[in-house]
Amino acid sequence: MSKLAHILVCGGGLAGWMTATALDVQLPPSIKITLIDSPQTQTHDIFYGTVLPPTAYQFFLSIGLSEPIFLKQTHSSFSYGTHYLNWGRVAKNWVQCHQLPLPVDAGVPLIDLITEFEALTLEDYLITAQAARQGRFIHPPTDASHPMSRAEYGYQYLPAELLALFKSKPRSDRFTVHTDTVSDIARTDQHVSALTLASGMTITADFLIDAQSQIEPRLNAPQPRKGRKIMVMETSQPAATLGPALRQIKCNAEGWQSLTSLRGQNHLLSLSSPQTRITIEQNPAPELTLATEPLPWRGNCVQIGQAACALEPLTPAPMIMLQRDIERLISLIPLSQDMQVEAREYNQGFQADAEYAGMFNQAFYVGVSGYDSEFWQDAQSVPVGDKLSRKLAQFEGRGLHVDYDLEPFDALDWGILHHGLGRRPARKNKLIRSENTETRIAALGVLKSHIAQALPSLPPHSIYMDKLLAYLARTQ
Amino acid sequence: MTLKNICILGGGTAGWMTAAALSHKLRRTGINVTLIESEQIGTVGVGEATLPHIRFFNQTLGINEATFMKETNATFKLGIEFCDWGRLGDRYIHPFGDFGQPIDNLDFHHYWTRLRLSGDNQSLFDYSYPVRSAEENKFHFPDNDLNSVRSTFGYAYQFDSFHYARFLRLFAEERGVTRVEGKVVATHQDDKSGFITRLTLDDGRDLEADFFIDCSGFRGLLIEQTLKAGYQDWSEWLPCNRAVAVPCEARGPLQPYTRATARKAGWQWRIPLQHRTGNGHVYCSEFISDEEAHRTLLDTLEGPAQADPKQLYFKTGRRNRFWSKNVVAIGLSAGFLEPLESTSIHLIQEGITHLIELFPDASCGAADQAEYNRRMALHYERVRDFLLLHYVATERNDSDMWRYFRNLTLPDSLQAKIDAWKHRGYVPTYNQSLFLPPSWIAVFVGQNILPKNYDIRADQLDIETVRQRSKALSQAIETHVGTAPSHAAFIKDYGANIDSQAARA
Repeated sequence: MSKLAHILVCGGGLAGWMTATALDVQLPPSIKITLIDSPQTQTHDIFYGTVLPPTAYQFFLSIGLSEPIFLKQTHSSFSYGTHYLNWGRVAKNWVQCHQLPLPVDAGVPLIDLITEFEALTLEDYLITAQAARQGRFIHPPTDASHPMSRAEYGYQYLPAELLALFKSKPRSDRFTVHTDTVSDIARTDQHVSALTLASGMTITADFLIDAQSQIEPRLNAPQPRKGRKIMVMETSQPAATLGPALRQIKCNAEGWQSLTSLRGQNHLLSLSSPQTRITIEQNPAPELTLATEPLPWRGNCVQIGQAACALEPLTPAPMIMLQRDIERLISLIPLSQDMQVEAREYNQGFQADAEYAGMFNQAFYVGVSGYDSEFWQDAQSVPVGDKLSRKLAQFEGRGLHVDYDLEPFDALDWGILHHGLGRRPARKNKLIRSENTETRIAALGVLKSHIAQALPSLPPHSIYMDKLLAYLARTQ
Repeated sequence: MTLKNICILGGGTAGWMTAAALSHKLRRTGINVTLIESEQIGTVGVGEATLPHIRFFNQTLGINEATFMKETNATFKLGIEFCDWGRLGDRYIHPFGDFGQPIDNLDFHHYWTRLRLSGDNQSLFDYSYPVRSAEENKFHFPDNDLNSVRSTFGYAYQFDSFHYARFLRLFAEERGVTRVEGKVVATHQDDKSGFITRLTLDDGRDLEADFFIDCSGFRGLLIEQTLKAGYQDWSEWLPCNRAVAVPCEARGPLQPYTRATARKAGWQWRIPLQHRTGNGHVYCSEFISDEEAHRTLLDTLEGPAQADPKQLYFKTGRRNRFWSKNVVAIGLSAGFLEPLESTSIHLIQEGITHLIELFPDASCGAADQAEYNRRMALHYERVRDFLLLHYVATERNDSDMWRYFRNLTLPDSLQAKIDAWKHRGYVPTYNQSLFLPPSWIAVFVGQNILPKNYDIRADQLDIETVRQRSKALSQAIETHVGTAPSHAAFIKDYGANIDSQAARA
């Protein structure tokens, strides 16, 4: 069997360009890469949301994009997380922040201790949440004694700008781009043998990656998508001063609205069910079906990003999935036309990741008092799977965190969400209560005041960014 | 409803590990822990090897390592040497550690495969510091400097489990666990809930408790004989159903590893302790007679036997439900998997850890039981699959047993793992498992299951650079192994050596 020689990426959006770039950086030069870019403006990338998770920094480096370049070539800013200002009908207010896990004290995770004693407020121990609320930001210092050394951060960004950045990166010779649309697909069973483009050109490839979001025609012929539909409308307002390192989300009966603070502008996004939209003649708002393909890789073709798994950008879940898809794909690049093993391993890994990412999003709606509206009813009538049921049952029963293999959201993420939504365990944990509680609570008190003391010296996000950009302009 | 009294039925490693852990964890809760054991009922105790997780167990209890080693005649363990598994005459060590170091974020073994396919014949095991140390009978603690090759491994122990149980008994009794000598002759259940309320002993005494931990061994007096939880028989996958064990006089340098030698109808273990060597022959009665199995063991001892051989019977499998009503089974009552990869004590530790995490109140909610059972089932099944790999990754065809395995249809999950490895050296990291990818790789490569291909990213670096880096690593390993202390000397310097006179007692 001949070696793999040519990979084709179909899709001119963020998923397509990020995937092709990743391939160009990581694969040896013997492999040809072709991208079919779209002549139309991308309408679906906004569904990836406007925040990038802490893993983005390392992921970008692995595909040749450094933080300085990312910042200089876009209007992106930093993000310590998302502030949910009034979630649900009872208007829960909390900051879902990024931080390394809280320490474990002699076998008891501090998060469990905080859960156990209602008098303790979790946010008192989350420095990034407090810093974000106060509009502050610094990169986490390496000095482990500084409370900020436990911080993690992502970015606030615009998918359109990130796309433009990838499109403008220099490409190696083996990476070709055709701007065109697919007019015909030649298939034998699950094997795609050739694509015909509108220009008349026919392209063959050993391996095809469908990164076309939910645009037709799909390269392999899976089932029609079924699931909740969402729609977004977006607008930008100029902003003289950079806002906080915190995306802000408010909800109402129609859905939710986010405010993302970028350099020079604030981006406003409104997400709702399609039925509740007001018709806009010129630019119909894009719609997405929140669905997951059971088997994204079939034959010699794999769907990636939203084409395989479409999630609500309520959290960084959509971008986390795209990153994981790309990393998983790179580790399973086929070596020949025989790719059954790769397909099976990829699909298995994908199914787990998609389930766990989707589960975290869904947990925003389960057991939460919602509005009597189409949007909320849709969101809250999605069946709750076993794994999520177990997680919620164990937390609400005894404050125990149940985790599964390689979940994208860790015990702290879940703990912050549970506490934010007011979920509390019904039973007291006798074991935790029996052990050294005074000493531990005193230690927590010390942590709380360390944080409170460290905060005032942290600069505002806007000033930190100005100084950082000035430094980058001087040195790079 | 609060829980006030816990009763552990059975001593041995399972009973006393549980008692020790609970005596520590529950010390301020006012919960009473009682353990019933009978000197009339022997424990299995045939010398045991362990996994690195046990160090965490001891540390949590505040147990001093050198003291523990002296009390249990323990030696250090860097891994297990497997002889005659892939082919007669083959040997390899499955270490506690990785092979090589990743280059550009890609696991080293892909580069090794690339070198191998281009004619290089350096063994993958030359890139493992613990393997080479074990082979030279060297030992020291892992270096604190994580950049040093001397830090790239973990370790466990080999000890006399009878002594370990005794050591933990002292620990537990000092912390308030009440030991009751006796045999249970009757169990009583609540009419409505079916919960066990009390046990009657042979001397007529009754023992009441809110919660019971069944460490009564294979019989499963509470979980099975009373609550009829049921047993999943895994003999089809792992047919060995008997073992004969005997200690013998030690010969040769003190080795920091266990040996498992494949035989025609099973395999034989050798566990070096400070005072003597523990040996056993695990076998399948379908494929060999007891008499021949005994003879095989006795004929291959390195020194004179020091006791009569002890015969054991078992059925590989697991309890359908580990936790039923107000009873949790830990140890042999929970299930059995042959000690090929030293998992028995580890599964006890997992049973205890999850019990503490899901610690019951007197009503023993169904959600807690279900979660405990889900976790323990996963642990047992994943170990089973890994053990099965040893038997099927082979070219051996020279006896009925080996031919049985050649013809066996494997569980899908295991077959998929083998296929993925053979196709491109891929080991998925998705299975949160006791045995991580380096363990699977050790067995695959050690037993000659080699990938046809490798991750394409390994082609990014030019082959000369790959060769040079690999050579530098294997040389660094040789150098450091050369200057490391011997296992026996290290134990002595550490102060963990036993008084050889006292040991014979």
